[in-house]
Amino acid sequence: MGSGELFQHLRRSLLEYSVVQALVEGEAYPADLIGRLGRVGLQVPEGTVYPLLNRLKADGYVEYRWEESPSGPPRKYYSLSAKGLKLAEEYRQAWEKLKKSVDSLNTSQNKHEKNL
Amino acid sequence: MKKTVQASVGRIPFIFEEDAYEVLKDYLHAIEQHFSQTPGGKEVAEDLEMRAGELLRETVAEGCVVVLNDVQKLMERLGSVKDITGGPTSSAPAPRPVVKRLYRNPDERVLGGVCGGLGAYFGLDPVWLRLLWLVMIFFMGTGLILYLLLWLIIPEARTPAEKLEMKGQPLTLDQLSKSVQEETSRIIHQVNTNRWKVFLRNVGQFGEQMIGYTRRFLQKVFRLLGGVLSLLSILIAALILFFLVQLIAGELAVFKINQSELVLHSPTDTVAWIFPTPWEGWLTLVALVLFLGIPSVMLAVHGIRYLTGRKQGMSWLNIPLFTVWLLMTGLLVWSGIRLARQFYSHQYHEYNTSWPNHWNVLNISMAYPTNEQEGLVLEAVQLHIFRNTQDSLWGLTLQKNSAGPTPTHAAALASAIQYTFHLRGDTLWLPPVICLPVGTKYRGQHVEIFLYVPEGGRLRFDRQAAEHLAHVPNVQGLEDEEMVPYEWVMTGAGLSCVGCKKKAE
Repeated sequence: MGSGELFQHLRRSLLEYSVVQALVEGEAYPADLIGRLGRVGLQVPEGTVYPLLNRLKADGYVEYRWEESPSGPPRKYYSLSAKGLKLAEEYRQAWEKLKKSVDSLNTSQNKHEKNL
Repeated sequence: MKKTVQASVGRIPFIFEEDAYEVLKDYLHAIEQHFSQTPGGKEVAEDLEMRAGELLRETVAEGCVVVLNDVQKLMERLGSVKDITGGPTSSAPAPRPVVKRLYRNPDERVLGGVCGGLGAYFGLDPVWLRLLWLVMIFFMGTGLILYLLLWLIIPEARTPAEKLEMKGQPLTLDQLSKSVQEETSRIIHQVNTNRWKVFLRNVGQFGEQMIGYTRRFLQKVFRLLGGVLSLLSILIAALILFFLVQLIAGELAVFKINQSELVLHSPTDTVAWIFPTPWEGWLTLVALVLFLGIPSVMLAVHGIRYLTGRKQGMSWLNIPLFTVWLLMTGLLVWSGIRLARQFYSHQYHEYNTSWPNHWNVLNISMAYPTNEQEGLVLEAVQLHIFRNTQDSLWGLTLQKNSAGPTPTHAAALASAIQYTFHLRGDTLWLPPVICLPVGTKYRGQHVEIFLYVPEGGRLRFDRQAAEHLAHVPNVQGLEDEEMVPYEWVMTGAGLSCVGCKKKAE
């Protein structure tokens, strides 16, 4: 697995987390969401977001409302539900924990390497 | 110059170049296929299509046609089918069935691309086919005619999808974009300077144009022919149906058997007089109506459907209707055989009488009887006239004939025929009709009258007799109808005209 591919793989696994976090900022149209992710260096193909949002909606984490678009058919604007907000918080805590563990793993590994 | 296709993406109308359309169609189709299997997936596919429409609108300038490059950019942005559907592990989009069709190959063309297309279809190098064709030209030009015919009949593969079909390759996104790329590179490399090839290509282009005209002309001719044929079929069907309605209404029920004309003015009568049992009669009538009715209704329906251009329809009815029709045909054959057996045997009953010659001229009258008769009245009487070679009397033989299933039946039916004649003064009245009593069946009953005239006997006919004379031989060789106005005398040579001799003088 090349490093690019690895990054992609990780990104895909973390996509759900990223999308939920991006929605914490507020209501968004899928294209905006992609923009938010892109600005922080998480470029994903737009198409991947749609099935994900659909699943989150089915599970009750997100809601959407229709809004007229200045150019073309109406758009769906997504936002987190109360349940979704709770999920975002849970995710954030889990992520912090995971990050700490992985970081400490890295530092212990560094120490190990130094010891060799 | 490229062909364009109009299509809407996410409710926004676009005009596509054909290849761009094919690629996008397949892309969206693959996505839709994938998501159709997951709950709520239809919505995702719709959202994606909406987004695709939006993106196209952003990238393609107003009034411009969507080209392949636009679609490729769009697909990069939205992600490949694999990205969207979550990799190859999830259920792959149902592939379209691989079809192989015969097309002319515009990429492998020397003249019309026939050999190229045949080669692609059979997996042969077109060069061998061209060689074969060249050889065939020397056999009375068979190759040339065959080539022109194939050029005319086989369509050209134009779109990338058709080209894949021609080669029998699966119609997938990868294959499509590969073939699009191949085509692009082929166009770039096609700058050919070989004079022969350029000449052949020009001939090919000219031929293509001519073939196009011919095809359009033939299409018009066929359409016209189809129109005329369908009009004709509607007309024929209408005539048959009209006949059937008349038959059921009893306006039309004429059976011509043994020169006698039987006119039955209702289906009930027909059943009663003709068929051995009533139920058999009704069954046969129903069978006849369906036997003629089903094909004519189908004919009319097809004709109308052709004229109105409606192709789909009640094809599910075809098999049951055909089965019924076959059944009815079988019934008619069975009933026909049974009916024919009713006419198997033939018998007659004879009655003889004679009179001395005590008149100057015998007037033969065949006027209709004036009294009403119970039963079936048939005009089935024939008069034969011969010379009496035995004595100087006038002889008359009345022969009542009938067919029947057995000789006994036939004989009984023959003697049951009601027929009376009489001689009053110098007038012999022979009614032209016979009567069958109620309760008997019609089995070809008819009456033959043989009149034996002594030499020197004179006779004359009335007007009605003309239709009932049985080709009476005479010296002058006149036809039956021509004999009526004259007086006739029996001579040694046969019946001779008296009146016309005077006229001849």
